[in-house]
Amino acid sequence: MLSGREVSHTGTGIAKTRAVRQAIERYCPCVDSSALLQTLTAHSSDSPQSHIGKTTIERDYSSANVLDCIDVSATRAFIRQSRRLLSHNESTLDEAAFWRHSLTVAVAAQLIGGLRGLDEFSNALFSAGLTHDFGHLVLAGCFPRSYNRAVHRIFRENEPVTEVETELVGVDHCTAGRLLLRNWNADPLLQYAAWLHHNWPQSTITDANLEADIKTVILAHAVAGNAKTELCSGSSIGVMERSCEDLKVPIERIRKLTRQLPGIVAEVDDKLDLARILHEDNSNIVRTMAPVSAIPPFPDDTSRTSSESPLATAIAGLARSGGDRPTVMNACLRIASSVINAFGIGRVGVFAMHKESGILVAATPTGNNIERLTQRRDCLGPADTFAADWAISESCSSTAIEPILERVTCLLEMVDPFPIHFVSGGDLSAGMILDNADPAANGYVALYNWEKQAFLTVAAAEVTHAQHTDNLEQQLELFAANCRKTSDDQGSKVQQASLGMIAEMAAGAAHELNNPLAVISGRAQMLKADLVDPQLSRQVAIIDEQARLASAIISELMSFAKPPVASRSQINVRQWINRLRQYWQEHSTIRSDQICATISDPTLAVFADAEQLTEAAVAIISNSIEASSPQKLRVLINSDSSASDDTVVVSFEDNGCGMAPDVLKHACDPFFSYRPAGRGRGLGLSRAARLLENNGGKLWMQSTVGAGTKVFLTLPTRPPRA
Amino acid sequence: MVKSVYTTGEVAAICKVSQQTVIRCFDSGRLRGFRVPGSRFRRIPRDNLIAFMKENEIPLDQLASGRKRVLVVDDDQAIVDMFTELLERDGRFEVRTAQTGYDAGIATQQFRPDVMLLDFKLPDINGNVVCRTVRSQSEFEHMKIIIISGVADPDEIADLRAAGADDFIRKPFEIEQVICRMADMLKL
Repeated sequence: MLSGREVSHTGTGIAKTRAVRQAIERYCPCVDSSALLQTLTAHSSDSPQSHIGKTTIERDYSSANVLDCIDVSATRAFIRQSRRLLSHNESTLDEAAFWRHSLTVAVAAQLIGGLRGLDEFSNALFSAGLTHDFGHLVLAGCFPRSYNRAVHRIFRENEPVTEVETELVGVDHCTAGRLLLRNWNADPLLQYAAWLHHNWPQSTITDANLEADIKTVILAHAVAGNAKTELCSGSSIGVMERSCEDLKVPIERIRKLTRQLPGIVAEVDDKLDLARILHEDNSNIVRTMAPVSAIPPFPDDTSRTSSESPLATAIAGLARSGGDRPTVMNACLRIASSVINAFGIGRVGVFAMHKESGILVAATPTGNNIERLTQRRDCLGPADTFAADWAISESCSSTAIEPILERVTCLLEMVDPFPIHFVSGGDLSAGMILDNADPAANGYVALYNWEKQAFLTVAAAEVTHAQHTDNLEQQLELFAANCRKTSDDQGSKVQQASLGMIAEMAAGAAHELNNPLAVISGRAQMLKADLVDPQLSRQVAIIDEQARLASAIISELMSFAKPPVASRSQINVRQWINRLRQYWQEHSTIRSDQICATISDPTLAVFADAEQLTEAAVAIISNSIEASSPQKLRVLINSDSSASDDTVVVSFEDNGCGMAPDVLKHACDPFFSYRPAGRGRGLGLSRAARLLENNGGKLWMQSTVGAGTKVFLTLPTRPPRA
Repeated sequence: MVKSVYTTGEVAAICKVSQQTVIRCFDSGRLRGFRVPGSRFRRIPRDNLIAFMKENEIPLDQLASGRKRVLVVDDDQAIVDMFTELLERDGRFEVRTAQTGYDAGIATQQFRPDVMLLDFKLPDINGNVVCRTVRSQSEFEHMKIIIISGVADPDEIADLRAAGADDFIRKPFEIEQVICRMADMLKL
């Protein structure tokens, strides 16, 4: 029958509008003034003034024309009840101005009805005038923050009311008012008056009387605007003249009405004692985070007990399932499970805010178990993209939830996903998505508000606890990682400092000890030259030799602590190993077949100081020789570049006596030797390891007692990056 | 064995002046001598040379012994004593000693050594500073410097060579090797 103006839909706005409308439709029944409104609308006066049109057309208007016809007490009760739509004080809506404007339009509509010469008078026009702007109450009550922003723009920047509201809230007050009144089953006139009072009705209204009544309210709205009462906008003289023409009402009478209207309204205002109603403490309605939940229980709520409520089952279910580790993921899953169990809902999606990524858990029942369909960490966008209204509305008004809705809809094959938010400390912490098409979901929807509030509080607490635990664990992990890193750094620093100290000490010792050693050695040589007795001569030679040995140890220590700077170049591994084998054949009794080499790639090359690399290899092979009897020794040299493009691993494997783990642990420590005293100074492997480090490589070992030792050299294939 | 006649080059070496200076003095009559018959080669008898050196207050040390002058610089008295004994026992060297860089500078000026055995680490200044100071004066450009040190850092050795050291010997050393290197350097 009607195709009035609708909210403009663009892109994601459709989903937003839908969500807002759903929110309003769930919000409206919370303050049910329908009974009072029907009383008000249907009231007919028995007074002689009931044919107000005929009588008032001949004389001046007065408040009596109005007051005789309306039920004052019903009006007061209706206003008082309707104020509950603003159950919180976050809105900046000026209630006094709102009601004065509504009253003005109501009075004007009633008087214009008289001017139209209506034979039958009812309070319908008055009621339509009174409720035409109820959309403001809905928006201010349901989405106070968005609405406040809209009001700011409308009054400060003089922007069109409906467009700004649609942009910022999702719907304008006209649509919101219509939704409310439809929900209250109000007279069609009231619904259309609320919906169309900012626009001329389209010709699709076939009922001429209804159209005339709507136009009456619109004219009343224009008159009120011209009478300079508050909250008037969008009216103009053009509208007034056109309305007068359509309604066949003399324009002069309307102008007269416009002049007299403020006085009449003031009288009606006094009679209704509007100021007193508005001064009544609205705060007996406890303000909570969600206005929906703030509505006091309905009278018959008292007959219900919590044990009967499926929500109580859900809450109890949440409390019982506390055995898991309290992660956000587990919390989401527990909530999903408890809701599924409590309501028998087929599928539930639960999402939660995470520090860096959102978590989405979709669950569905399978037999006696809850199957976790998926658990995904998907980025839900930065937290500030969640509209502030999320935190105060049970339903979602933000487009930010759309990706989640889409995913859940797709994943769980939901027909009409309906988001429910868990709010903790004023912030959105998590939410749950039900399917409106699932009959079991109505079990939740039909719940009373205090039950919903209780469930939401418990669920929010559950998620918040898990979030805090997660955060704490993350911080602990970070702390532990930092501790480990600090420990490693400290270890590395201590090692570097130790080597620095050794280098400094060795340099000092080299100077201080080499002088007396030089004197011992020199004097011994001089003495030897004078000696004829070969016995004495040999003893003096030993003195010289030992002095030089002591000096050599000092040099080795110094070289270990402060190896010379590596002069690195490209070295072919095969050629290097061949030279190494040749060296051993020339400098020892080792046979050529005792040192075998396997080179995976003949072109394999490393980037190192050839002299230092050879020195390290000599130290390793010397170690192998000392760990085995020379005749039985067998050294296998392997090269492998498969681990990485940047490194080559060369391994030296012997069949010596091997090392126990506690020996292996210290094998590279300077001066550590597990062999009998006198066979080595214990600097061979430690020096080899130092030389490898000096060339950007690494030395590591595997050893088995009785089986032998495998020494691995990791060598770089490329020059170090600048 | 003491020489009785000297060439202008030998006189220049003894007096630590250039050969041209000796020739100018010879030609002007301040340094008396003779020309080799049948040639223009100048020869200076020992007595004339001593008279010339006295007139010009040139120390007669070099002329007196004919041995090579060695300055041993080390703060370790045991090392100093050992070198002194070793070199004097050899017979070809005349030894002076110093135990600090400062003393070494004074001894160089007075003694005009042919070779300096220099310890790297001295109580006041390091060997490389001594090297640079000596090399900065042209009159000592012929002097040989051998560093003898217990520290064998290749970087430090390279630094010493750059500062003007001719050779490096690490402590402890073979005494024969030290003597041989000195003899090679001084062409003994």
